[in-house]
Amino acid sequence: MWYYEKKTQYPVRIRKPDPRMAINILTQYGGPNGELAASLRYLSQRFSMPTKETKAILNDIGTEELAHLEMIGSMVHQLMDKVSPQELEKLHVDTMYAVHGRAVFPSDSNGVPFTAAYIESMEDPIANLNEDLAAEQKARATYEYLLKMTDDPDVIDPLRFLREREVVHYQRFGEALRIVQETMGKKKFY
Amino acid sequence: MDERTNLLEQIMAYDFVLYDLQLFLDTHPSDGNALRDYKMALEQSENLRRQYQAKYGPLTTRYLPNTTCWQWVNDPWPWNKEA
Amino acid sequence: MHNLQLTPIYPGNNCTGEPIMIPVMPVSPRLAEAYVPYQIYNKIFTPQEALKKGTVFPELART
Repeated sequence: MWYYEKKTQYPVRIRKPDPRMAINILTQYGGPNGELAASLRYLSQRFSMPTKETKAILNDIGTEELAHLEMIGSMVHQLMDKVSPQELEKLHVDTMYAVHGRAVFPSDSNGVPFTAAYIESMEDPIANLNEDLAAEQKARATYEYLLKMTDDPDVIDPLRFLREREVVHYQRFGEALRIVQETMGKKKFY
Repeated sequence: MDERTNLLEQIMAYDFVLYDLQLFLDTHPSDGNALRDYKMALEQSENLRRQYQAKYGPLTTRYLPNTTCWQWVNDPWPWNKEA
Repeated sequence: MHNLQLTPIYPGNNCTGEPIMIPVMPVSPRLAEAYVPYQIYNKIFTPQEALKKGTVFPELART
């Protein structure tokens, strides 16, 4: 189970609203390479991990992704906060307002709603871990695109933090794969 | 940055060290140096948490200093700008 | 040689089981397998630096 901590993993304090950037960042909330997909992917795959280290790493990275989901949601919320519908119309982000108002809804930047079709969970740990390595690279690439679309340090700092986390997670999934390869080679299980 | 935010960011920093070391230890469960650094950061984090919660209220519901008022509901929540 | 530095992993119960040694890179890599170097613990950042960089490990920081 989980307990809530009343803090974000990294500070999110955005002073200047920017609805266009809010919609761009939204894809990391409910898009194909977003944090919700990441969390559900790892938390689902952990049940079929073969060793205690690989169970732990899937469990703990899946948990961290929930903290990232909260950071992204906070960023979207703060970038949209109190912006008038007229302003949204001027910036051409009023179609999102027509559907959800200024709420945070799990979709990508085009409004395509979140779907579990973004993830896979198989019994085979090699297949799962290779998917996870790819997922971290796709998320890293997405953060790099997002970083090119803003010059606000309040937005850049948390995005940089999240991009770096993808690199660290890639390393840990790589080590998890090494453990599976070594232990399977030694016929410790199966 | 006000005093509360400053203290909260110190806790974030120590808790972040703990989490990054946790992931390392998951794949290196017998690394003595990482375990030693984890223990040091854990003590610091617990110490700062005690200070924070006494001054500014609960970070988790497992802190109940006042049995007449449920302070957990108080603003700011982490997604608020003033958090 | 750096590549042959071993990282001990203990798949036994509570870190007391028979260790499996995992080298930084495989000694005899097999085709059609992907390998990431196994990390070795070195110096770490201060907590403030770590939070700013997004990792406690200088070797993993991409700035």
